[in-house]
Order: sequence, then C-alpha cells, then structure tokens
Amino acid sequence: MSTQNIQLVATFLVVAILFAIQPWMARKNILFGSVFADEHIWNEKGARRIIRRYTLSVSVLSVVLLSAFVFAACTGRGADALTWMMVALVLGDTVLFIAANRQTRMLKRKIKANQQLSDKKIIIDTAQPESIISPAWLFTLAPLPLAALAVAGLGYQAMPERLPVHFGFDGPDAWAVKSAAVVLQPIIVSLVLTLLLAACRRAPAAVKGSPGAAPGYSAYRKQLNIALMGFALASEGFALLFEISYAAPAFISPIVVARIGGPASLMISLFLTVILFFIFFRRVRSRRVEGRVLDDDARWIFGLFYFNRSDPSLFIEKRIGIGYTVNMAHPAAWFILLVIIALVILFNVLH
Amino acid sequence: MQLIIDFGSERPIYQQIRDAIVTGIATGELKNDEVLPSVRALAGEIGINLHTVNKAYRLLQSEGFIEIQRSRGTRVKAGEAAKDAASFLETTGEALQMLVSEAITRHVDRAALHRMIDNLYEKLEGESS
Repeated sequence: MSTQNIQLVATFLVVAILFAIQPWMARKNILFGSVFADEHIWNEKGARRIIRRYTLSVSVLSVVLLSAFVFAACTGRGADALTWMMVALVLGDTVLFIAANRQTRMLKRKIKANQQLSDKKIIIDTAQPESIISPAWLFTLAPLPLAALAVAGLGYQAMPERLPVHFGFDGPDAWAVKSAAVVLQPIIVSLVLTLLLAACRRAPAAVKGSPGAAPGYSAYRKQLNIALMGFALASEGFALLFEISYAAPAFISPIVVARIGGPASLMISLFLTVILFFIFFRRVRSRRVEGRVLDDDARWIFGLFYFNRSDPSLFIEKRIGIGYTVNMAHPAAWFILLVIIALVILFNVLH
Repeated sequence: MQLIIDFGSERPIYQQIRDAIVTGIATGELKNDEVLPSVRALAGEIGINLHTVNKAYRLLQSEGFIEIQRSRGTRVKAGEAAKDAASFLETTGEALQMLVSEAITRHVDRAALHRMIDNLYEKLEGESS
C-alpha cells in the first residue's frame, strides 16, 4: 500500500472512531442530542440498547467501507475510492446518528423523562462572572498575518510563476499559477480562523435552565478558546513561513517549509487535540449536572443543528463534540457557512 | 442574585427582569455598584431577543435602579433612596394591583388613572417643596 493510501486510511479511521464515540462526546445528561435531567439516563436499559445499536452499526459500516476501499486499492483505484468511502461514511454515520436521536426522543417520551425537566422556567445567576478571553489576547493573533501580508505584498514580484500549494509525503503534489488569490490563500485561511475564534468567545452553553445545568461552562469556554488560539497561531505561523518561502525560495524553499511544516503541524495538531480532549473530559464530561435543566430539544434539529429565532447568539456550544456550532435561525450563520464553502471551492479550483 | 424567568407567565419577560432586579435591590441581594450581565450576555443566556433585555435595562435606568455606562458596564444603583423606592414598589405592588384590578372591573379608563396619579404627584410634590 502506498504512503498516500496509508495516510488516507488513517484519516478514514480517525473519522470512523470520532463517529463511534459520539455518545461519550457530550455532557452526561445529553444522549444523541437529547437533554435529560441528569446522568441517570445512562442506567436506563432502553438508552443502553440505543447506544449499543448505534456503535455496532457505525462499526459495521466502517468495516464494510474499509473493505471496499482495500478491494479498490488492489485494483489500483485507491485514492478515488477512498474519497467516496469517506463521503459515504460521513453521510451514513450522520443518518445513523439521526436515527439514534429519534429513538432517544421516543424513549424520553416513553419513560416520561421530560417531566423532570423544565420547559417554562430558567434561572440565571447575575453574580456569576462572565469568563471570556479578553480582546487583548485576541490582539496577539494580529502580528503574524500582518507580517505575512507585508511579505506577500513586498515579495510578490520576486515570486516564481508557479507555486506549490499542496504537499504530500514526497514533496509538492499540486501547483498553481501565481495570482493574488493563491498568494493570499494561507493568510485568508488563518484570518478566517481568527475571526471565527473572536466570534465564539461569548458562545453560550448547549444546555440551559440554571447555573448548575452546565457547571463550570464559563471557565471551560475560556480554556477551550485558549487552546483554539493555539491552532490559530500555529496556522498563522505556517502562513508566514510559506509567504517567506514564496518570496525568497533561495532563503528557505516551500519544499523545506512543507517538509518541516508537515510533521510539525501534525505534532502541534495532535498535542492541541489531546489538550482539547483533556479539557473537555475534565470540564464537561466528568461534571455532575445539578439544578433545573431546560428541555429545549425542539431547538436542536436532529440533536445536531441549533435553530432558535429569539436567541441573539450566533454561535453556541455544540451539543455533541468539542467546539461550537451556529444558530441556523440567523441569516448571518448561513452567510458564514456560504463564505467557508465558497473559500473551499475557490481554493480547490485554484489548485 | 438568581434571576428566574418564566416563559409560561403572562407577565412580559422584560417586566420579569425589571421586577426581579427591583426585588433584588429591595431585599439587599443586589449590592450597590454590583455588575449586572451585559445586554448581549443576558439575552444569550436566557435565549431571548436583545430588545427585550434592553427594554428592561432602559426601564430600570429611567427608574434610577441601574447605571449603564459604556466603559464600566451595567451597575446596580442601590443607594438608600433606590433601596427605599425598591422596597416601596415591592411592598405596595400587591395593593396597587388590587387597585388597578378594581379600576378595570369598574371600567375606569387607563389614561384617566394615569392622569389621576400625575395630578396627585404634582399636587403632593408641590406641597412638599
């Protein structure tokens, strides 16, 4: 099997595992995006059955798709096949999650779990300090993109006509004709990351009702955002290095940057991912829910997508997984999604 | 202070926020100069429109119970005068409600009652000054 295929299989396995562990990637009173009064839902026989069925289905689907890939790789169509397997995996697992969400909601009605929840009242502690990363912290994200922009502007004339834009294990595997869009791509990506991070710093918790419904959320959000700032800084650092390598390949070539940057970014990403998981399990998963919990399942379509017209928040904590999601009821949320999709398509076309 | 919002109540949410803060000042739960959540933070926490919280805060500001400053945020003004006023509103709320409900049953026009109160204020404030 080629190194590229190994890389693709590793990515496939990571995605498959992330889908398989979805039930454990939420607060203990959340099951497949449905909210309960406390963690006792995990002792419910019906709930255990839904979890078992979901993890088994996800595992079977992953094995079937991976076998199909191995077969395709043997016939020499590995890379193309895996792209389709990945799409099938994401779509298939999402459908399985939605099915599990429906079953959980049915179980919730059956065991009358909603009677323990509040659907009308919410308690806010006005004295609870709002812990957010200060704008001063966010300013530390400004110098690197500005420096990258300056290098790109001053060095544009000196850049070669063809620039490497994607790198595999054996060096560059995609080139693009020099243009402003190609040169600015790394800076745009890091700027989008920074803007998204700035917009997420006040995102409310995915569970509401009382201060004990999402205990310690404010501190968790701050730590999560600091870790995400690490990702943004690393991405900015590489953007700057690439601009320098484009403008002065004799000083440091893009191939060298990619050769150092590839393993380095992998190490940094792994390190930050471990930190993210650690923060999540310490601050979210292991915390005991106390007090009134609001039953707002109706606001979470399929337990995945938040839709609340009266909520002014554009971003909100994800109900499943680490990070944030958008409030789909806001036109701005659709605009953000469209901009991200447009950027992905634009950069793919450029390649 | 714990602010309880009841989505099922007939009282508008802005009124619930305003009343809770007045009660907090009257009972001493909210201290002078205590910081209140920003309009955006509170609206996000409860999951309601910004205008609703803004309306409650503007009302509290006009009644002298809070101070809104861009640089210092929203702070409670629970001096002796504010405490007195808050406690008066607290204790007389029920009596006032009875008075108004009687006025409604006797088909007394809302504007007429407003005018009556205005006239009394003018008369009594005039006498005391």
